[in-house]
Amino acid sequence: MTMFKVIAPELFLIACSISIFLSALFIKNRRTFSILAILGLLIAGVWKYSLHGAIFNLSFSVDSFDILGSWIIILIAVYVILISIDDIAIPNTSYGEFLTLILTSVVGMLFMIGSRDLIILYLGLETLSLSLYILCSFYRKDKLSSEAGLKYYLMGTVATAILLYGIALIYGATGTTNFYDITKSLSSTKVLTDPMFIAGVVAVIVTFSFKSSVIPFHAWTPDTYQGAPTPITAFLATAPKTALLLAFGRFFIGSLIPIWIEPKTVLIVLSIFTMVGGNLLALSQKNVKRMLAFSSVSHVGYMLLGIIVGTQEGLSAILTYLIAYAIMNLGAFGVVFMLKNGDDMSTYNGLAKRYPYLAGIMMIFMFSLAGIPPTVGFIAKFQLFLAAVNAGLTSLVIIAVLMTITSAFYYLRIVMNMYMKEPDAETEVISSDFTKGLVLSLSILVIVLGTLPSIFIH
Amino acid sequence: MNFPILSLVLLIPVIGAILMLFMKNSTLIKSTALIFALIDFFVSLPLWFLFDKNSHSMQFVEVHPWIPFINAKYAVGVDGISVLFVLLSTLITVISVSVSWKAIDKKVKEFFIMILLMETSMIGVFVSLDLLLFYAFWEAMLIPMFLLIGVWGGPNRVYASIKFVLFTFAGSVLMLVSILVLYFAGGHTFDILELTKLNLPVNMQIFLFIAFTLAFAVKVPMFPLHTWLPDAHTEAPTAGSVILAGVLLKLGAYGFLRFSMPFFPEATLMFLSLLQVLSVVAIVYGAFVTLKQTDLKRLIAYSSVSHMGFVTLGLFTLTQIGMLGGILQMINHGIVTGALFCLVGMIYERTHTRQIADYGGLKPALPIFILFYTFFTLAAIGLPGTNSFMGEFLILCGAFLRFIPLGAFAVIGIILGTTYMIWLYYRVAYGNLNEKIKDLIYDLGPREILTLIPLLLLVLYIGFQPGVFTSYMQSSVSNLIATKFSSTTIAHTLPLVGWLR
Repeated sequence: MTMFKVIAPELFLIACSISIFLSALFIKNRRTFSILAILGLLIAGVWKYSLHGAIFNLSFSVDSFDILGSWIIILIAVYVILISIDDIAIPNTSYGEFLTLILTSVVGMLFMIGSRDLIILYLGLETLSLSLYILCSFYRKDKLSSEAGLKYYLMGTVATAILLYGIALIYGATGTTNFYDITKSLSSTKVLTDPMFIAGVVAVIVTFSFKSSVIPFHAWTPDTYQGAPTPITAFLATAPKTALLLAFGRFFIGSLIPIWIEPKTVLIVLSIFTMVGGNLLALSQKNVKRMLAFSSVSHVGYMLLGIIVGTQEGLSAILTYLIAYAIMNLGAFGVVFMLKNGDDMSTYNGLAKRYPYLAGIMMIFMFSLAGIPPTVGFIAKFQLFLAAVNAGLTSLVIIAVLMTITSAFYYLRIVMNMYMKEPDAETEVISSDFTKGLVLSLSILVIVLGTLPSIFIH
Repeated sequence: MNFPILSLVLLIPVIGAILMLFMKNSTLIKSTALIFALIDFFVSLPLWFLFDKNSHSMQFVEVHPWIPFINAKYAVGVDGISVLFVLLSTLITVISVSVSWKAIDKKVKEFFIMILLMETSMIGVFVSLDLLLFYAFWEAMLIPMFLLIGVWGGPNRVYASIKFVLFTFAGSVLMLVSILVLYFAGGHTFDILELTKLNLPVNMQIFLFIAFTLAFAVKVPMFPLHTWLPDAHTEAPTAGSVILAGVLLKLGAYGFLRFSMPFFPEATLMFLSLLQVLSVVAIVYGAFVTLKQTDLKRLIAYSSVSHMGFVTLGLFTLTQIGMLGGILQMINHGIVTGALFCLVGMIYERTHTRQIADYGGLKPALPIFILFYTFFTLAAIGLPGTNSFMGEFLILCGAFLRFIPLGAFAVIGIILGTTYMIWLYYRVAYGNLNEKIKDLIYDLGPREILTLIPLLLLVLYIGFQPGVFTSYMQSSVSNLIATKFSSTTIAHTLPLVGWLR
């Protein structure tokens, strides 16, 4: 039974999601369901706290890192559910399914974070991906939404297939899929030079790159982000990134340290591509969701620095970054969601005149994304760069810094549109006061954590 | 002295800004801004009186842990140099609130919130004793200034604000990398005083010096990084220009004094000649370009390039007298150019034109305006008895001591400076009153006079009693020279300095 104790929160969430799915057939009240789902998530999160330990032959374990990561994901999910309570977001008929899928994807992500074995990692990733494919095309009648789901699905399945292939190759070379055992087997030079092993590692890197939209594997990102319903885009942009970076980061850092030089070189190249490409592509976007999509690509590029550092310090810098990234992105997408035609750049023209507070909030998120103090975005970047400079990656940090300057262009463009252009008559806020309060509290969090970062950096 | 006076000075504007968030009535908002600016000014005054001038160490120091994990602290304090700038900042903020009273009619609340946030971040830069804290304030300043120019500025404001942000952001983000490198070189500390004691290898110094100096040179701005300044100045609302001229431009020069020189003395000496030459080029080139301007604000903006050239020249003579002059001139420029921008703003409020050609004949029509205008023009020229005279004189002494041609070129700048200021004065004050503005103009009101009087008094006070001011900086400057540049520098004290004490 102890075996199941460690994954009890995940099992509990599965039970929750199934019961919501079934009862949704009979009960139609959105609010009740949402509260149930949120309660389920929070209970699972609290439950996680009491569990430390490893099971299944060290294939799944929970430490404080995992707990923090899980909490990030759970809170993101709670936020997304909260902003979806208004029926403008999700069609009434399928709200139960929406909640079920969110919960299932959270289960997948929790498994990924806790995994210390490639097979479990794979299972978690598939659980996550399957839910996301459906979530992305949730507006069944909308062409863009269907396209979003289809693109994500086609790219995503290829990626997971590659992962499976990679796992098989690694297993072939080392005789194991467990992170610890892989590390142990790397002490033999035979494995190190085995082309099978190297091909396997490359396949894992490729899958990671696909899923977390590292350039040049990012092609699905803008279309999927743009087409998916905004709350789901917000979810897609934040939660899976957390799971992916932590799970794969743990694999790269935990297992490959003895041969770190080669994967590191690959990741350095990918990171430069991603930082430079993401920012340059974001520059030319006319659609806010697409712009945020490319900007999230570039943020993954920065976070790769933490993996390249290859130490616990790097991983904790990533964790800080993920928290900051989640807060500011959820906030920015929240504002996009609150406005009618929120993904059109021209909607923001003169917003400050019509909705001064909303514009102020959006401005805070934009400055934070650009990494200008006193915001949490600055603190996150700073800690990441600190870890990278400490690891001797100064030239990479200089590139990152130059790209930060580039990113200021497109974040500031939104601020400019809001404050320095004349308003369009049609701009309209369509969400409830509750959502407004939610987004406002995120903006306050951006400033508070930006000025007093010791609250969340340990 | 355990009273957290510096934290209070930092916090008062923020409290004011937060309170204003909940206000609707624009008169109430303006009054709140003025009251908080005044309170902040009066709270900062004890710094002046309680400061121990004979000590070069930091005073009113407060240290609290900020991000313990990376050893970053909330550490603030002032020495003889920064204390003057804190006071200048609180004074200039009062002036900018007052000068905006009528000029701002849209988004009043946001405007005054930005002014107050600006104040906190400016003062933060001057008082930080922790490099990370310094950087946070340094960057945070961009936000209010960007909006001040971009929202309340002139017709070309969007272009100007973006240019301003990108220039300064690009400069300072590179500084961030250097700060990180310094952090590790200094044994995991951001403590500015600790880092000052470091003896870094020369190669490292060169790299870091370039990055730091670029950031500061953009802010000063030094030739050839000055191109954002005329745009920003011209487009900014009056208060924005006053803050830019009054305080923001000083931050770069302050950075040289606080970071570039003490952290990287060897690199400073290596680049010294280049920086001196660039300063002289800024003086002469800036003055020549100023001569050609047809826009009132642009003219004063370009003259700032020239004047700030004097400041950097003074600092980079690395002589005690030149550096004292440089620092004094920073304050002088803040006061005089700030006042000139106020005057331009006041006349612009009436006529809505900044073209010099539209003016003329104001002397008989606006006696009070012209009185102030004459006074500040003379101050800008550097008439003996005004503050600029002392600043320029000390700088020239330093320059001549260091290398005679430097001084000779700088003198050309002074001649040109007199030319453009007098010529401008002639075109504005004399001649026939232009038909276009005839019916629009009326003389300064009591609020405007009250705004200008403190600046006028300061001009005279510094002009006649420069020693009061130099005595504050003296020990800090001597200490810098003595500890970092003793073998190479001319630590001259001319007989005249007796008067300066």
